[in-house]
Amino acid sequence: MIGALLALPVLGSGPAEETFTLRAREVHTVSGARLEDSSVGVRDGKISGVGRGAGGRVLEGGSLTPGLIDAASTAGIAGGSNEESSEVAPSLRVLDALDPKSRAMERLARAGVTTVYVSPGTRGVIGGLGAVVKTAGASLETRVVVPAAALKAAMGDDPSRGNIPIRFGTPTSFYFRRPTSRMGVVWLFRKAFFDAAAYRERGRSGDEDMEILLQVVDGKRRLRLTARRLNDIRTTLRLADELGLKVEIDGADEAHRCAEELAAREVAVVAGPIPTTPVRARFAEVDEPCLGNAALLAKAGVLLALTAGDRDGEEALPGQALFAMRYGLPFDAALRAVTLDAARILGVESRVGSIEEGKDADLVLWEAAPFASRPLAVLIDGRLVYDAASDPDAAAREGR
Amino acid sequence: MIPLLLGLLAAGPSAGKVAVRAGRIVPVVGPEIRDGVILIEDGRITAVGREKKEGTEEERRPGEPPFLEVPWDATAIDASEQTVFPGMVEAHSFRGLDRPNENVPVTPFVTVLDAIDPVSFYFEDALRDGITTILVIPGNNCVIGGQGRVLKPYGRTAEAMTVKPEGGMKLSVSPKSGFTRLSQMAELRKTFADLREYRERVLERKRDEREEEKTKAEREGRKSEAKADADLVREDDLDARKRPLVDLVEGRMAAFVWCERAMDVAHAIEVARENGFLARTTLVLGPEAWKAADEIKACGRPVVLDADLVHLEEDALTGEEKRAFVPRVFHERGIPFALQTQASTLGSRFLWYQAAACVRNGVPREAALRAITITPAEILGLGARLGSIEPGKDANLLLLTGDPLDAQTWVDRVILEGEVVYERSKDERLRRLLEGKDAPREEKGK
Repeated sequence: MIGALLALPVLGSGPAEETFTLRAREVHTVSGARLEDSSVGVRDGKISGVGRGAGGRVLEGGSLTPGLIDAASTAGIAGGSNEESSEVAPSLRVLDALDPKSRAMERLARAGVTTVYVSPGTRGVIGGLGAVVKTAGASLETRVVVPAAALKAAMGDDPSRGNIPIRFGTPTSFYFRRPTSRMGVVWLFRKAFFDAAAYRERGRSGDEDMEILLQVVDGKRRLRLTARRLNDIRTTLRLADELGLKVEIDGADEAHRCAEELAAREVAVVAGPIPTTPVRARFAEVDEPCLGNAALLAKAGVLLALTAGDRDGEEALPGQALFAMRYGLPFDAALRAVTLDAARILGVESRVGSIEEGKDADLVLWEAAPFASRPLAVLIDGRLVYDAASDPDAAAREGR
Repeated sequence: MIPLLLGLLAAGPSAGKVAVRAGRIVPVVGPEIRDGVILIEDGRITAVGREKKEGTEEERRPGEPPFLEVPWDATAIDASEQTVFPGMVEAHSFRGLDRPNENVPVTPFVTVLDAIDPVSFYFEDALRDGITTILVIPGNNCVIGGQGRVLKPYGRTAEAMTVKPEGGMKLSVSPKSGFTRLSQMAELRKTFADLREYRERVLERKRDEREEEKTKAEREGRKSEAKADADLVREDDLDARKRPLVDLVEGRMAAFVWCERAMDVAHAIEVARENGFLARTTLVLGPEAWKAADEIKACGRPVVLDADLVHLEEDALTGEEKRAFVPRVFHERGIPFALQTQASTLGSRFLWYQAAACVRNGVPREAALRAITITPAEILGLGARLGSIEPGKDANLLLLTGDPLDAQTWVDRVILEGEVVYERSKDERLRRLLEGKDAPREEKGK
């Protein structure tokens, strides 16, 4: 009776790096050809060989993929992800809010998600700096891939929803300072970049907020915008033109409606999570949910990643990929969107996202096909962070 | 919405003789058949086997499906590239209702008939996703919630959708909002005690009438027919509001008892046993109720599992997360279980997905397939009519593009009682969901 409910293996405190040989009927390298009945070697936390093992412990499965990457996760933030004291706060760092022992990260690692971009939430117009981290590892320090990654901003409803307009008297709450409409959101965004330009013109220095905005202007830092509706996506593109910014978009529920334009302008999109039910009322922010969003974006040639956002269990990233495929995304495109292309969007493709010699040993060994079957083993930086065989209740797994 | 439904209604040949040629038949009961044929007459399956090719003298080996001759006047349906699977059955749902529960705690006299919305998205989606039979029953937020009805997701009125009017009574042993477990159980006990008293009162009255009649007959020199106590009370003698509960305690109505937690299971069994309806009870379980699997096994009744198949909880001592895959617990104990859907997540709104999740988590494929077909059919008392592809059963068939449990498989057509009632190629709303609002529309021939 009790046997069916057993403690799960603790992640992050597992054995140190070992030497592994992973064998699978299909090895999806993503960057290169698909290998049949092949092996991948892991040594010192890196991939030491593709097509040849490295000796050591042998793990076998149906297929092998790179560790999955969620390019717009909310996992692991302790407390709120929105700093409400200011609507423009470029120098805030999400890393300061990350809980290395968070349950959500544990679950992601178990599901095969090994790297995530986590960012401040969408209540601020400019929320702060995201971080790219691994979902498990010896310590948070070793898990960090990029401590101060893309700057996060948001368009549309999210930063203005629920804010109280000034009607009379003196503002007594910081809510009064917040934008109450789409216009106000855009104005604050634009003003931040005007202020940065003025700051530079006057030859000033020492203001970290301004320095970060100027890094974005100079193309030295990525800018991630959440824009859900078509009009918000168009606003984003207009602002990018006006201020000379390169942007990438998440949220993006209606991006399929301007897929060609996004492709032509080389704007990357992080799509998802997929609407769970096609009933419109649940997505009041979006005119009409489109299950084929990711498929239509990929078809148009947009650089695409998938995200599960805050979804868990069956709706975690493998589930998103599985259903993106059901709704029209070809398998190869789905795999790229949760590995190498996600890594490209995050600018970490030299370390993760494909099975290549010298890259981080972040790997998922699946029982059969990727996404449709369960992970048998998950490695992060050469450490076995999930092993179905030593799971005390191997059949009682995350029911995706 | 309305034009879409009209489109769906207009599809398909009329009933009569139909022959479905299938690339693969997954009958759930019995072995799979490759290149088979299913013969249908007047909405019922008459034979399942392989087609007899003219001029060949193939011998049927023992254990193999029979060779069948397709009648010359049968409407042929070609599914030779497809997999045919029985229409799926959902044994418990309160979707498709206007609102699932009354405010009043004890309402055995209400019926979902009055709250079914035939044009709700739930029914449209159910058909598209291969669910052909659903018990729609009041929600769990009740003491005695009212009567359910077994429906097919096709038809413009609740009456037209009805497969079986007597779906069963909904009861809850877990507290309704505003109740505690103490007051919930007190309310249940009181209701049944009142019922007993009421029935005794009626019986007493009928006995008095019998006596009167007897005396009167004697006085008039007639011979009177003295009825036995058991035959004395007729349906008309009972208050219409009490009749459904009388049906329940006299074993004429099935019961679906909601048990949110493991601690509720014993109470559910007690209430059902004391009031004589245990033999017709199905337990509807919350995710944590798996911990009472041994008690459930002992009472010998089937269960409908929560749509959340995984039960997660934190160990109070160590803080570690513990996980149980619920259907596996019931499978291992040999307790018949049915799966249900919910609207709130990506996969669990599909019955096939729920079964696929079972397989991925160590439940044998056959048991998982049964949990979305024959087991729920048996729970609804329709095991002889639904849930498998066998001669004598209703011709509710899904023509699938692949294996029933593969996430890349689509329902291509749905045959309901011998009629094609859904075709994916004509499903405009699905096309729009997949291709987006601005997708250029093809001009349909008019």
